[in-house]
Amino acid sequence: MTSLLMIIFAVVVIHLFFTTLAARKRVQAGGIAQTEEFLNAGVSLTTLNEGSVPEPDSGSMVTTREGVRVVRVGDGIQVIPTRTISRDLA
Amino acid sequence: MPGLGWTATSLSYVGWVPNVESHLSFSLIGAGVGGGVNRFSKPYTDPDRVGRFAWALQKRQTDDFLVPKWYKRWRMPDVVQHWMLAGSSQPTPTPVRIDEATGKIDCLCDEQGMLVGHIYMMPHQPSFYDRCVQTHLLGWLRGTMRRTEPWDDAALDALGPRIHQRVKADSAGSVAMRFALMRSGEVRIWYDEPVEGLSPDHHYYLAKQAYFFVKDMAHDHVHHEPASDQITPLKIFRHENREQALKSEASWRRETLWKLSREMEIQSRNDTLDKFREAMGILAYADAFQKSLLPYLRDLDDPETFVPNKSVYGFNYEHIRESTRIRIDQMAAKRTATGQLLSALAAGAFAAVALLSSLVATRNAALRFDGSSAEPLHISVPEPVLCFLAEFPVVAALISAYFVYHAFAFCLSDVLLHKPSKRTQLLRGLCLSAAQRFKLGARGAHRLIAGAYILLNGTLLVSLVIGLAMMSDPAFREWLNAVMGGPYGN
Repeated sequence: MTSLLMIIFAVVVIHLFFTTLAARKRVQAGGIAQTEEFLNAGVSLTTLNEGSVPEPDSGSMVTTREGVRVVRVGDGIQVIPTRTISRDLA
Repeated sequence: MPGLGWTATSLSYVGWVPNVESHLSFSLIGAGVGGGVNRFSKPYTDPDRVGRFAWALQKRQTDDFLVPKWYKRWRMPDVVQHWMLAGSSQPTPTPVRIDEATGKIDCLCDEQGMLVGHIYMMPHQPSFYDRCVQTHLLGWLRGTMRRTEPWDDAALDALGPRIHQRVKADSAGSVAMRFALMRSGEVRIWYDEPVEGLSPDHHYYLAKQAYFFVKDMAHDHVHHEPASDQITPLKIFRHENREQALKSEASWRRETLWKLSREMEIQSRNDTLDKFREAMGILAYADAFQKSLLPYLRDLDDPETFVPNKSVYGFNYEHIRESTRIRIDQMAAKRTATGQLLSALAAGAFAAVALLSSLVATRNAALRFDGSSAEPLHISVPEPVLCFLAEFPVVAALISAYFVYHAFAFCLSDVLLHKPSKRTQLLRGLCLSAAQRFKLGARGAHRLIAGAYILLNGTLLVSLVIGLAMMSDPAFREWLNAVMGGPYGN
């Protein structure tokens, strides 16, 4: 049982360690320019969490993905668009 | 031509489902998309009627948030909708070349050149009664798709109207859009009537989601992240007057090509092998679009025919393709060498330790043989580490192997694992918000993110060592036995 717990613990921590290490490598590779692009695109914790990242302008390097919430209101519907940054961006 | 209803409404949109040289297959709609998709595709049996009925149903969830999908679905069920497309193929003229002498477009009739039908969006039903009715409808839809009895042409012809009637009756708040999907990838989406209570913008949002749904069903996302396919746009087809219609016809083609070219440029700047390869793939699509759809516009007086497109020029991708190919070769060679070097280092390290151990053992044996009074040598290994290795050899081996695997994946991370995730985006969001709060600017925000990662990596590494040390402590095992109520030992 202890061995199993050790393996599970080590697998999880090692995976997290290397995932964040690779993410840091991508952040370093992107550099300050990429961070500036994110800031200009209005990316923040709130907009990422709420899916309300603003629509990027045509010159932005930040790619986004869009979705929609469809809320039933009486006999009709209310359409609420959502947007976040692309999943292949760190 | 029933498929040309897109010219009769202002709520009309046009886009392109990427494919290479008109190879969209209607019989494969919904195939290979993954779990959660029900599909149905039957050809007509009449030998004089070449065509088929295609039908696909998918439960889709908007996942534009940082929290896990299951949590968002529980807290906000309206992020889930059921999307369905149902249509039958019809003949359509397909442009093949421009006659140089006359300047006219030669067309060939493709008997299954266009799939025409409806796209349905069925929203989440908050009311229990409506939810039961919709669930029953979905059960009927899926059950009908799974029917194994043969379908005759009359049954297939009746299927479309029957589906339409059932959805309108049993799915409250559902929205039906018309669509026409050409084998060239051109897709037209339009509303026969506006949806009550929705603004033109909201019609556009829904049409875009319908477009993404059609792309997911009809196209294999190969050269980009599947869940983030916004590369080719859906444009509003404006046709209030002739000039506007002509502009619309040209502009969606131009913008589709621009976006493909732009996406290729963005991928190429990433300086990783997988992104370069994706760039090459996107180039192939851009070339295919340039050849199949860019040279022609639909004739505004007769949308069944085509006229030459004189307002948009294409790009010559030969040089960029060659340049990207060279960079791929260089990077691939570098990656191969890096992988071989890492393997040699790992093997060399183990071999060195084994060689050292055998040399020490040989020397100590020789001393005993010679009866020498010299002190035998010992390889100094910290006691806790030695105890851990002796007591948990399998665990040590598995952990080491997993660590080495991830170390390789990290160094070759553009070929192997370590794709971005919500966790990394969460950290990015936190740091960007902090930077905005404290007015740090881009440089300060970048340093904040880098510092956060360094702190996180250090914490994880320390916790790994401490965690393993704690677990190998006999006191921990006693506690575990007490908690789990049994002698679990190792």
